[in-house]
Amino acid sequence: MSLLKWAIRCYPRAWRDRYGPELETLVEDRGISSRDVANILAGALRMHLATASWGILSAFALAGILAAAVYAWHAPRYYLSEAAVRFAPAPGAVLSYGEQLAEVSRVQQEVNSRPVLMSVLEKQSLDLYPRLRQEAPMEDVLEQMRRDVEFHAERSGSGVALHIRYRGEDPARAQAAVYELTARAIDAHHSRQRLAAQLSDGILINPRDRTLLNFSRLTSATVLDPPLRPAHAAGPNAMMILGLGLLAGLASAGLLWSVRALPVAALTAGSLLLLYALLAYMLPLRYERTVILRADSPATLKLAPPLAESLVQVPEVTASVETGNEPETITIHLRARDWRSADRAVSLIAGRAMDAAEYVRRKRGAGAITPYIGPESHGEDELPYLPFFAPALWTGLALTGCGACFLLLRRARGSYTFSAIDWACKNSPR
Amino acid sequence: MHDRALLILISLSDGEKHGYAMMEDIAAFAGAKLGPGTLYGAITRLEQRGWIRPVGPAGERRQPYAITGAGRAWLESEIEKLQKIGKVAARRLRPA
Repeated sequence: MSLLKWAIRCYPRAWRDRYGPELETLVEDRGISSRDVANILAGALRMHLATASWGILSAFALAGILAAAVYAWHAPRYYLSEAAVRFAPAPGAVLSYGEQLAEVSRVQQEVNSRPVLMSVLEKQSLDLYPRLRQEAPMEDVLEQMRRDVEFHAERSGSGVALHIRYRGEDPARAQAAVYELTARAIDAHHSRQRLAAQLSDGILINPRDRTLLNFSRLTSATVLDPPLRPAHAAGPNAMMILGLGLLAGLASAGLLWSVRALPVAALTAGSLLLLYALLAYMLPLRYERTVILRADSPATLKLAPPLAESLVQVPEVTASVETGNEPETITIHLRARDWRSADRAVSLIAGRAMDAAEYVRRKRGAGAITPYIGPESHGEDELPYLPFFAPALWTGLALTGCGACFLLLRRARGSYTFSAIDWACKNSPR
Repeated sequence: MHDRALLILISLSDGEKHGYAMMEDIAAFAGAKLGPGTLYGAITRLEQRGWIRPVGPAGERRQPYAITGAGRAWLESEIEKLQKIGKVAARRLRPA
């Protein structure tokens, strides 16, 4: 197809049927230049705009907004409550930022451990997850709570502020849960301080743990910001959902308007999405996190391997367990497709490692396993990570299926065609 | 649109012409080069308004167009306005 014919095909079909041959003859008579092609394309755009059915466009936009409004109305609201606890060197004590961070990290891990979270969950006055508790086992409720609790440590003056945030479906429950978690964080810190004070009485302990416990003795914790009852829901963001609905409506109208052959477009879009999903599936895993479990002795660690292997049963994450050069350590390497999964796995494993430590302590009467979390790192591969594998797969399959059905229908009916432009041009006011 | 309509109507006021002839005529009397897309966009609108009409058989590849009575009336009123404006401009430009 020549450039001229291609440019003329950009006009609406009804217009093209009426004026196309004349325009083609005119250009053939005077010779075509690149400027003429640009002029014809601009004319086609103007003609599309002139013949556009603004009613259809408005209807699609309105439908998008209405669908988004229904979704926003029915989507469960959630409330965020947050508190901050400041850990600072006690008067006269000298602690580096890293040492303070180590103490905060230990407190965070203890609060996020299974016994602490279970005790918070079982507190009747809080009544957390009433529906989920009726429908699912406590393990699932615990996992949900771990997803809803967030910890974030940041520098605050000469100390470190640990922000504890909880996301709940009820403002009062969110506030109460954060209040409880904050109290547990302070308790955990005080317990470590008491344990550190007892160390001087000659209790034998791993030198590393002794050093860590010493940090707690030299740190004081104060509540910087108490949890407040959230006045408004933090989400879902209704305006954003309505805006997305409007855009989706306009995009659908634009697609219907600009695409002459809907089945072919559906097949093309579906194939592209399937290709994308295939690539996303084939690309190697990207994010890596490491959790090191250190035991106080090799004998204690003998109990750890089966526990360590049970620790890595986290969805969306693959893990490998290895015993390091040091006989008291087990290193768990986590590889995930996205950093959220990797982070969630680290959080879960840290919590479960505390459970393991508790188990070992009860089984042997003594001994301890302490988790250390390595920094986030990228995988060995530098290939880009492609998100949205599952949505792309299902949307691609749906579009390909729709396109194939349309084509089959067209073939079955022989003369069946679908063109929004034809319809709109025929119905647009002259 | 206003200028292009005016040029096309002036071009058709002395007889029927097809697209290419209109372009040549407009370039000759006004020195304006209309692109093919611009010309046919204007022809579409003028035909919709009933100011011009095709005079050849339907489907003619070199379809001639003719100005209608409504088109001629609009053109005359526009020319009258332009003449008044032109007179004022000439008077004001004349040295005192």
